[in-house]
Amino acid sequence: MKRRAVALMALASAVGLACQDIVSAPGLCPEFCPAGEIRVRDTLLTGVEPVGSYSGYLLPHEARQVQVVGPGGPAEAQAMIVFVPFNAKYAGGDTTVKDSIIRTDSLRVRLHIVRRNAGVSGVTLALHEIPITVDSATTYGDMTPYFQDSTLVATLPVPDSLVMDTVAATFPAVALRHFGPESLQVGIGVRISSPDPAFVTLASDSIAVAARITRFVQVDSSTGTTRVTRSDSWGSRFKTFVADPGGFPPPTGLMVGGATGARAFVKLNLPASIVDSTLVVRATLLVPPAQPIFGAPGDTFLLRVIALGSDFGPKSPVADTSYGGSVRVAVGGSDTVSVDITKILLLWRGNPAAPRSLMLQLEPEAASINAVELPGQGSATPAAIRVTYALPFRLPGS
Amino acid sequence: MRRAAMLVVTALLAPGSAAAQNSVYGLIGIGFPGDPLAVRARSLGGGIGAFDPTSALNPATVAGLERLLAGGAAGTTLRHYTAGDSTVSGLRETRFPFGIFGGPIPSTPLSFALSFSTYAERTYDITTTGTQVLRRDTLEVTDRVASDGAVTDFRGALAFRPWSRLLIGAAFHLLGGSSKLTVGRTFSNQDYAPYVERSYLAFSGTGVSAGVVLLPTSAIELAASARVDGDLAITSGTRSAGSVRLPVSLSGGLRLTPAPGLSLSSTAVRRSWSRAQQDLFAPSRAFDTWEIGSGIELSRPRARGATLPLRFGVRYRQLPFSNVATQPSETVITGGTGLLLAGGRASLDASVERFHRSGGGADERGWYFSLGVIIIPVGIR
Repeated sequence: MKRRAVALMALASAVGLACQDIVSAPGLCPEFCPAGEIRVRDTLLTGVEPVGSYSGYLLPHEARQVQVVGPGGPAEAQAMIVFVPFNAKYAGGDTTVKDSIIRTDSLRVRLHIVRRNAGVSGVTLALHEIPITVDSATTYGDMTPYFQDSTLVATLPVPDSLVMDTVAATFPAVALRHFGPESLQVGIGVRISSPDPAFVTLASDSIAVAARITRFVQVDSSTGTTRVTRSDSWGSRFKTFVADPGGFPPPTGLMVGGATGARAFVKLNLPASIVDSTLVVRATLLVPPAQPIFGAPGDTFLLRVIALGSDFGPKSPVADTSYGGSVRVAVGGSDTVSVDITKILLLWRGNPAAPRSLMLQLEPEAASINAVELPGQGSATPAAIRVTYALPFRLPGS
Repeated sequence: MRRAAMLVVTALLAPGSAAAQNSVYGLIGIGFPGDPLAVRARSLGGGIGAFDPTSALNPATVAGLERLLAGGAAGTTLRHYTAGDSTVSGLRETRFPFGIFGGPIPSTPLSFALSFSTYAERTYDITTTGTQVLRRDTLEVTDRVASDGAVTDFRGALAFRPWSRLLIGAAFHLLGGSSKLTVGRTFSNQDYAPYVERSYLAFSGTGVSAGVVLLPTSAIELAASARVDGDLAITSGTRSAGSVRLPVSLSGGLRLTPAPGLSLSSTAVRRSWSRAQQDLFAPSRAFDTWEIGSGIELSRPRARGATLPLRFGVRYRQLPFSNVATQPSETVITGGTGLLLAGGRASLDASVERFHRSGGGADERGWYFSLGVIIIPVGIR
């Protein structure tokens, strides 16, 4: 009896468990639609409060890229590369030759271009010999004397078809006035000459180095009977770029980017009724540039917006960066820059302790002269936020 | 056996398990009205509902429980419908719509019954498309509104038999249950994040009912009952989502037993659902309803030595809610049988129903299969 009862229960349970509900169906409104209303609204909020602009987080010599900007644009910029010093003896690794260098014939500098402006032809890179003592404090003015005809080492045409590749120039060792037994280190400055405004950006990280230098030397074979040519090469020890400060417009608002890698902080005064009580489906930070977007002619860059984890000034830590937004911006434009910050508002939802503050920065940082200027306090065209949000589903009677 | 009975009771009273067959008409008003009927009563078209002690329509019938019993039912709906230009098929739901536990109270003339049944089924998953202008762009939007749950009627009934030919009972009804509401919208433009909102609607309300069963002769039974429900309060989280006035229900029944093994029964129910009209929002409309069911039961046939009754029935009922001026209705043809097990200490009932609902802009047809079990524990009186 007990066994049969258990069997019956099992049967009843099986009936229930074995059957999966299928109830999805298209609605036919209004005859067969559930009562209630989905309400999605859109509003423009002007509560974007400029807080400040700070720089120094990353300097050009620490940046992932180095920018060279030619004349004709708003500001010229020149790259400076100091290579690792060569050894007094051949260090190319070929054990079939002696390591005593009879003569240095020539040197070759290879530059790794990762970006340039399209549509400009006849771009030439001019390589100048610069002091190996340049450092992060060197200014554009300091370098002006070294970008003269007298210091020109080589010119390097950039093929019009080149977008991202390496280019190399080989020149005799005697072209370097200060390269010799006393100093086996080379400093090279790079500037652009072109009929139209142009720029070139060099890679500068651990994966793609900005430049390498190769030395071609005469050495004897190990038997001493034959003189052969061998080479050894080194990477850069220091690289940076300097920009003509005279080309930068006087800032009136909050600067983001530039060679100093400035970051801007803004505070959003958002009503809690939207952030916490609705579901934001789209939020856009609208930034009308205070003046046309500054930078290398034809260049574009990424403007990133990140939420702050805590807000205590320039050294505020950022929140989870995966919640940030970004937009690619073209230099020279004066249209309002729109950055999607939907994820940031979702991050803030139900988290009143999170500061409603944002940090704006360029990506990569401190790697170009490009900059955006946000409208400052009291600007006639302030930044704003456009929020599209869904109100809680309204049931009839509620 | 006793432990098995308790397991059945526990399983049947599990929260959220109560829901009945669903319908396209369940989208409107408070949902698709359920039936407080056991499987045997269902297979008789509901005709025996006013007399069946294992159903929960008439509390007076509880006095007919001579032994402690526990029972429950499971049912599966297969349906398809046409509404406007849309034809939807392949819909399927399985529910546990009814459970009861009751019997005589020792040392008293009273009997009791605790039961649950579906008051209104609120399970649906509807997708609609449309457009919305946002930021000066016209976007295509796809909305989904899904509900999973039911309004459940928990009944506690007491009844007694002052004379052998009269049964009197009363019951208190506690309406409860909840539905999980999922609302979402997706946009044709990927710049707009799809949103999904999930919330719970909780239902609450009370009601009372009373009824009598009169047996003037051994071949004739008469029954009548009345039920008055208050308002059904709906809350979403901590805020009110409105309330709906519930109907007063009056039912009456006639059962004839012209010969041993042959039983004819009819039950009619009138519900004043139009009371809810003022609580509904346009375009929903509420109508008073009639429900009439009749059945015939032949209980003498035998199969392999066991009693194998044959049950047939037909039921017509008006449905209370519509979004247009016409009131929909339902016609059901039913059949079923049952099997006594363990010397009459358990029974297994099966029912099959073919239903057709129409009106209000839709035409819905389908099958409803239900299986019920009743267990009379050994050693408990």
